[in-house]
Amino acid sequence: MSDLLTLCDRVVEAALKAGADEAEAMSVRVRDVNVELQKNDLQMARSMSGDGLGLRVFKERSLGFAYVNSFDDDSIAESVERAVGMATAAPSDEFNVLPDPTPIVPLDGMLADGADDFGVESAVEQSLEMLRAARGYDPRVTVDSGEFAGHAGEKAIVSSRGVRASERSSFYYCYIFGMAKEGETVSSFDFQYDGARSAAALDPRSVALRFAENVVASLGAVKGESFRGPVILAPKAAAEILIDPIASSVRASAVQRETSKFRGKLGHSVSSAALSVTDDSTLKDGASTSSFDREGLRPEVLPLIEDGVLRNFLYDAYTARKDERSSNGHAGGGASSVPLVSTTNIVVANGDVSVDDMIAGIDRGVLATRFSGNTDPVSGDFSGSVKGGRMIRGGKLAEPLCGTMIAGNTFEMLQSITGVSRESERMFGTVVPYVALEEISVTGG
Amino acid sequence: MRETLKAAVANAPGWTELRLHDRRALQIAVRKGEVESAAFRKNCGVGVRVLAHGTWGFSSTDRLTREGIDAAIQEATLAAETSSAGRSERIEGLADCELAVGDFKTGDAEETASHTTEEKTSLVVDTERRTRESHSSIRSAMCRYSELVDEKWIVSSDGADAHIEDAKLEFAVSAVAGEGDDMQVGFQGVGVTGGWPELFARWTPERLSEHASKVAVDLLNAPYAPGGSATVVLNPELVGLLAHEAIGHTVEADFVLSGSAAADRMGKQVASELVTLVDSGPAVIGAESAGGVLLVDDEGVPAGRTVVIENGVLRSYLHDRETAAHFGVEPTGNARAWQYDDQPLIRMRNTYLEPGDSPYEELIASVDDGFLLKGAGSGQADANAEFMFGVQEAYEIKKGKMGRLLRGATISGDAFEVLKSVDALSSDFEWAIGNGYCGKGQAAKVDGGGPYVRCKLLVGGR
Repeated sequence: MSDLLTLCDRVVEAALKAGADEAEAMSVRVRDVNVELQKNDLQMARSMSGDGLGLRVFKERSLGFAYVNSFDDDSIAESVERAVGMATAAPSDEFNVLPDPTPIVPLDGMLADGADDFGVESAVEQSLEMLRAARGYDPRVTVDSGEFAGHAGEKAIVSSRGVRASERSSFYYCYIFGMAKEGETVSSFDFQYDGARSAAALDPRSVALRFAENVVASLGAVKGESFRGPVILAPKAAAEILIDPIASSVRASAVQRETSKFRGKLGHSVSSAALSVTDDSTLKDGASTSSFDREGLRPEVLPLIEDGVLRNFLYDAYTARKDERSSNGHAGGGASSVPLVSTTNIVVANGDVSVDDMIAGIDRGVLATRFSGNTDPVSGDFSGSVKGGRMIRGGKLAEPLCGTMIAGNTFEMLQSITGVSRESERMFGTVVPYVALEEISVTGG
Repeated sequence: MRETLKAAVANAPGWTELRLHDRRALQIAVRKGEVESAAFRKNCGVGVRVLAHGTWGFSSTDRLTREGIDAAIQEATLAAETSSAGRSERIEGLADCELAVGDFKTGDAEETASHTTEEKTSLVVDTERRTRESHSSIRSAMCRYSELVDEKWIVSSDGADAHIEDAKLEFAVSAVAGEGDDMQVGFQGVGVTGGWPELFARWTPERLSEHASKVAVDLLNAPYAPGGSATVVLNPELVGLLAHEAIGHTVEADFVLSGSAAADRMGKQVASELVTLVDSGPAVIGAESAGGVLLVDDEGVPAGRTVVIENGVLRSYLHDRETAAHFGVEPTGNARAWQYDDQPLIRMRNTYLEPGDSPYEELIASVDDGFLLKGAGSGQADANAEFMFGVQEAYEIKKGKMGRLLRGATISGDAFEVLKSVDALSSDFEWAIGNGYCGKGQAAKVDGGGPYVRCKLLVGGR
């Protein structure tokens, strides 16, 4: 039996003894190695381990939570005292009941072979590979920062209702961030990243090349013109403008609080039929892939939007109880956080048109590589700058853009999606293709 | 603990810095009558940084014994040794300065602790309820109270020996108003270094609640702002955000070395002569205690008042000891680490524009056709000083008179160009972004503010 499970058993028992009616303990033990790049050079190597213990209690249906970063006896005693103390002060809520256990199905591929042996040397090699690839692409490329990191750990959860689960996993990621510089001209920032369950599944070189291409292409950007017209959102921009508000609006907590535009829309069309979105907790190499959620329940793989039709909301135990149903395993958070409804990995289904064909079909429009601005997930209003954007003229990519803003409403835009690309990008726990929108208001500088 | 840390440093093989950081955080959050968080969190441990073979190694431990600390020193040293061959430009040394020795105290942990958990919880529950029940159009409300109580010891091979105590508090309210399918959010928060008297000095919970509710309800009936270049008056919150996000990050010396927009501009006119921009550790201006107050940074360097732009001329970057050595200047006390297991990075503290001498009324009265902009939404800025921020409230100004409230406005531009267009600053001063956090891989508590400022920039709308 895992040491962490035994530790959680002990904490749950102590919490009950201290006056909690129900208790749930989650513990984690992690080992992290990473090498950081800064200013076109290696900057620092880090190697460390850490522990974490989160205790949630209900006392007369009042919530109390405490987190400590050590497993010593004093820390455990403090977590119990604090959690029970917080619950004593909080108001009661009839829906504060821990969930009953569901059978857990272990997932393959969560832990890389040799994950425990991943050391500074490998991280140095991989991060330098990334740096060399970016700088080698073009001398004008400058790497502000970057990182290659490996993480291996174990988490366990036990509750007084019989929930009992543990999982070992590893995760590796790299990112690179910077700009291109020519004389006094500085390009837009760009950042690229990728993550996977094993170091071998990561390709830092291609991450670096994607970054270098983008920053060089955005040199010599000009202020755009103002018009209403078609816009292609590249995956990062689409994630921010379209997918984040969807992810926020499918949470049962937002629906119940009337802060979701999807309230009352289950089974109805909420977007163009071109869009299908799934919450997939089993996604290979997904950052949020796990065999159990923050309450120790198995997360169901759920279609959220199917051919434009809203299919499911995400529930944790609290929101499920409110709607008189059971949780579908979407309590999110780590050991240091109180469980809250959350998505796992979001996968947007690919379409059948290539990005080149999308561009070819536009006479005057904009390709938005990134979006830097405001998206209000409640109203859906968004407004902000296009980063690394390109003008599209006569079906071809034209001049790079700066100082160009786009604005609109996400929920209205969903209806005006004209196409979804064959190509998609994996962004840790989100997989998103290019999305073409019929008409957006574009404001030039 | 101090003696254990000193003995471990004395015994370390090379330059070593130990930072014992004991953080106790409390957060109570209620949303639409539901307690979303009633949480205590303790993060306590020692961060170890070593400089060996011309590069940095970092490790950390939650074992506060001599053995635990020695093992972490060994791990950090090994990390530096293993990675040093990959570094092309070796660190030759760190900038010398008078490192902090002694006890340094900010905030008011005792006063904060004198309020019971029950009292704190009731305040949040009541404020959320009051906000939710304040108007028939309010559908949901949120109230959040947070405390960060820190105790630190920083000991280094070259003489830092500082004991630091600090307490930072935040209180924030948001309201969601709805009519049919239309929903609008109003938000107001406050964050200070201090205790409850400082936290609620200007914004009582009642006022925060009223303001958030009123903004949400008023925005429901507001038309969209039109887009285009405009003369605007920015409120202290937007001035603080502009100073922090769009200028401040470009003068962080690590960004400068990577080629930010402030590189090669030292000594040059980068803003209107009316503009003096400061990043200060202590709160040397303003009536209340700023939310980013810092007396000693996480390298043990005393944190002072750094004049970044003086009368429009770029005078200083923000440094840690490594970049200060590179530029041949004194470190400015900007090295900060969020928790014990984070390494210090160059971060801002309290970043602001010095006030001017125009009465606020005059600023508004002299605008023929423009906007008064208040309250920040989320925003981002680039290394080239290009920025984009959401604005909560945009009011038309026509012939010097305040007009309609507009929704959905954003501001954008090149921050240095915007500062060059500044032609008036009011004589008021407010700290205004202390409830927020700066993100740069790690979080940091910062503040910012200034007077009301008149300038030209691009307003985005529909």
